[in-house]
Amino acid sequence: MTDDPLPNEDHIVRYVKPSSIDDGEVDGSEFRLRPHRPDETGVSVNWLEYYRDQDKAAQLSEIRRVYRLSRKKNGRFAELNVGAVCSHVAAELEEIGVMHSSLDAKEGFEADPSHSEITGLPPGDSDQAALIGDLIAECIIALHPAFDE
Amino acid sequence: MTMLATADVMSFDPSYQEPAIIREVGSDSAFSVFPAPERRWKAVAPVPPQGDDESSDLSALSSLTDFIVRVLEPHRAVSAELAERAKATKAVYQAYLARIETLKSDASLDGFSMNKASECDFWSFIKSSPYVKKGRLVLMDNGNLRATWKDETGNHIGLQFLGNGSIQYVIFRHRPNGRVSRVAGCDTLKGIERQIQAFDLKPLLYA
Repeated sequence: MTDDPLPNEDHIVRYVKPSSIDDGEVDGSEFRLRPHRPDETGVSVNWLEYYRDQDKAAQLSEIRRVYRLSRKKNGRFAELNVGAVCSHVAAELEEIGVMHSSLDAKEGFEADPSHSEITGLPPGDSDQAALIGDLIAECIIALHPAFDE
Repeated sequence: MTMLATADVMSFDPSYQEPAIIREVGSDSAFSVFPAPERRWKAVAPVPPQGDDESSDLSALSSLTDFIVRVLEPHRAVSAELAERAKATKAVYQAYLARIETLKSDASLDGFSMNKASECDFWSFIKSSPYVKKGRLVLMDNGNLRATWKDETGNHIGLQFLGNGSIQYVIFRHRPNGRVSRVAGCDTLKGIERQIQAFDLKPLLYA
């Protein structure tokens, strides 16, 4: 595991469940820390350009392959630009960052080397978390299928 | 009712005789919005063009038509608009009902349920105004409903219905000078309405 910040020009994706998407738009509540998980240090995402030598389709395919949590067919991977997120949110939260945080293999799961986190977020049930979540959601640039097609 | 009855009996019939009640009430009555047609025409009808007797008669008829249309059509226009708005509101409610059913179904597959109190707060808010626009509706991991409205300029309202009569709100208001006001907090339903008014965002939420 490393804690290096991701380059501003790079991109991240986050899986969002179907009930958080309406009319093709992702709700900002998907970008809050979970109040019932005080051990969480950030909102989990995956770093597309970790697989720098591959095109986007292959990058997404690799991320899907090692993704550990359950996914629904109608869920989506929301893509965001690292620099856009940090600059857009910085007006309200200077501490925000996107840090590489790879996951080692464990308990039947392969390693997830592109795993990263959006860090510096306020407590998940706070009003500020609601505002920051909506700001981050404004930075979504694309939605990709949850599974390879 | 007297006004409507009076309007209904106005006609193009030159032999029209106004109802006795109108004559009795007189022009100074509180009900004389539509006073004796002959007198009213002389008061508001435009001066007909000079010409022979036949053309003068036609001009007077046109003036009566204009007067009746100006008097009667506004009522019809208002009724038609109200009917359209009621239809639009019903469509919004039906869309929300369908969306909520989908969210409940998704939640049960994921092993949790929608917070009933949150659902009640949501409907209380939606029904607090007859002309609320359809927004986006999602179900949060805590079982609460959250609705958002956005426009093309980036103005944004996000409301999480907490289920205890409180609503957590997020408001983004883009100002003409390029600045953006961003606020978040919790308030009651009435308080939220005041917040929306204070930020001049009623058009975002209400038709």
